Amino acid sequence: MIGLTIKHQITEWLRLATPALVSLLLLLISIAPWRPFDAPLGGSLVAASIFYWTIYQPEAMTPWVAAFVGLSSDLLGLSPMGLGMLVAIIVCGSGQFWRQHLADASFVLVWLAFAATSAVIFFFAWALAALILEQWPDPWPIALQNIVNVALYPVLTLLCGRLQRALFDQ
Amino acid sequence: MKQRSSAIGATSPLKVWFQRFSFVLLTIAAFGVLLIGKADTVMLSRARVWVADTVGPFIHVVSAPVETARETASEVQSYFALKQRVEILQRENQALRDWEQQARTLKAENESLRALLNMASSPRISFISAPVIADASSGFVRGVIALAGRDQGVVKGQAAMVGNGIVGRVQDVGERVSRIMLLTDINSRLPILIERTRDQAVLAGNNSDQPDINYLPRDADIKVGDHVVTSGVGGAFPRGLPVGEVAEIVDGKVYVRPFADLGRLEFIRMVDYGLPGVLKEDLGVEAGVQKFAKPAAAPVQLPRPAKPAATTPKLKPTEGLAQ
Repeated sequence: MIGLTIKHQITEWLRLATPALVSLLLLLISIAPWRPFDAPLGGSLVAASIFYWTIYQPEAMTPWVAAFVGLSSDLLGLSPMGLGMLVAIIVCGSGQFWRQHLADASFVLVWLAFAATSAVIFFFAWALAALILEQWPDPWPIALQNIVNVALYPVLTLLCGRLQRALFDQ
Repeated sequence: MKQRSSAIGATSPLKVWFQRFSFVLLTIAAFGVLLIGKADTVMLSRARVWVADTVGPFIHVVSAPVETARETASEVQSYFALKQRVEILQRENQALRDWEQQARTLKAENESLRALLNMASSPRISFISAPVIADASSGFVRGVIALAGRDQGVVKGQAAMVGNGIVGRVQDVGERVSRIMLLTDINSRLPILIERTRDQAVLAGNNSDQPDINYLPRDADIKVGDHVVTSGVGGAFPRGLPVGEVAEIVDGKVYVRPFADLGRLEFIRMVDYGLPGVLKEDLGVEAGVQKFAKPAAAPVQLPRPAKPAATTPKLKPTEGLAQ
């Protein structure tokens, strides 16, 4: 009985921690010293991960968790301090908004919703970065990061979906 | 049921309040972090160093399979291009031998001239080689994290180089890792010199692969292909370190392609030229700055070739670091 309770608690803890851990792992993988393109992609996939988990595991990807992941990205030096945190909060908020409207929608619609979110984030992040840095940064690397996020969203969905099923759908 | 509702009643108002206003609270907090990051760069730098130091070993582990895959791919590639590579290396070797001969002659000549002028010898150069464990670049910043820190003798402000040119400077130093700000980072400013025309200017990063040149004289006659080297102004780096070449000139704006391939850095060298460096005094708050003898309020000076021995900073060679 006690064993079952402990197992249940561990599973519950894992269920709640997995979205944050996956997002942080993706953050670390994205800064591996290897570039498939001639453009920096540090922090890519983090927004996609936050969006995915907000839609499919909202009780585990709360705004607080999203903010923590964003702050981790800032502390790793991938964006001006606070910017990654703000972006993560917006992605989480957007995920919560779309979740209400896309409850039984097909994957393509969810993907499109993420693409729309990414477009908004691009303009927001670019403008805010310009304000923080007091000069206009080159928009292309920021745009590319968002494009990669959107392009890899199906792969992320596939992998995270399998992980979710393997861990929790028993 | 009654018990449950009373328990919820005891905790839920606060929880509900937090949940309801979490977005507002977090957005305010994020703007607070943003302002703190803008106002207190020292605290920010310390926090980032602490995080890099803590996650450094994890990053190394996570990036290890990627590194292995890259090495394997590169080995397979180089195996197929072996014959061609040997020919290139033989030609390069011959050219380097010629250069070596010239360098020896120049060194001997230099020494005799120095002796003639009674000049003090240049401060000893020390360097630390380190693997790059993370490409901490994104759309907003350009930097890398190297697996060498204060324990290995890395000091804030040191030049970061690869074989064919400067890549940036040490921005933050932790115990085990250090963060390098690349030349292409939007906050990077490097005093440079156009080798052919001797025009001095500042190379400013813009988060693209080609930083641009600011403060060029109006009458500067710059051409595509001109070599750009450090000017030594500010005393952070010595004069003459290779930086890059002029890649294009668009609407009067001169863009430079760095010699070093900043997107594929595997190993870098942190080089201490023993210069006091205005950047160190402005930004240096970490240990190691005190080993430079120059007072903090010293004015910016152009490096002088002939300094009396008493004012030349003497540096200890970095211990057990040269690889």
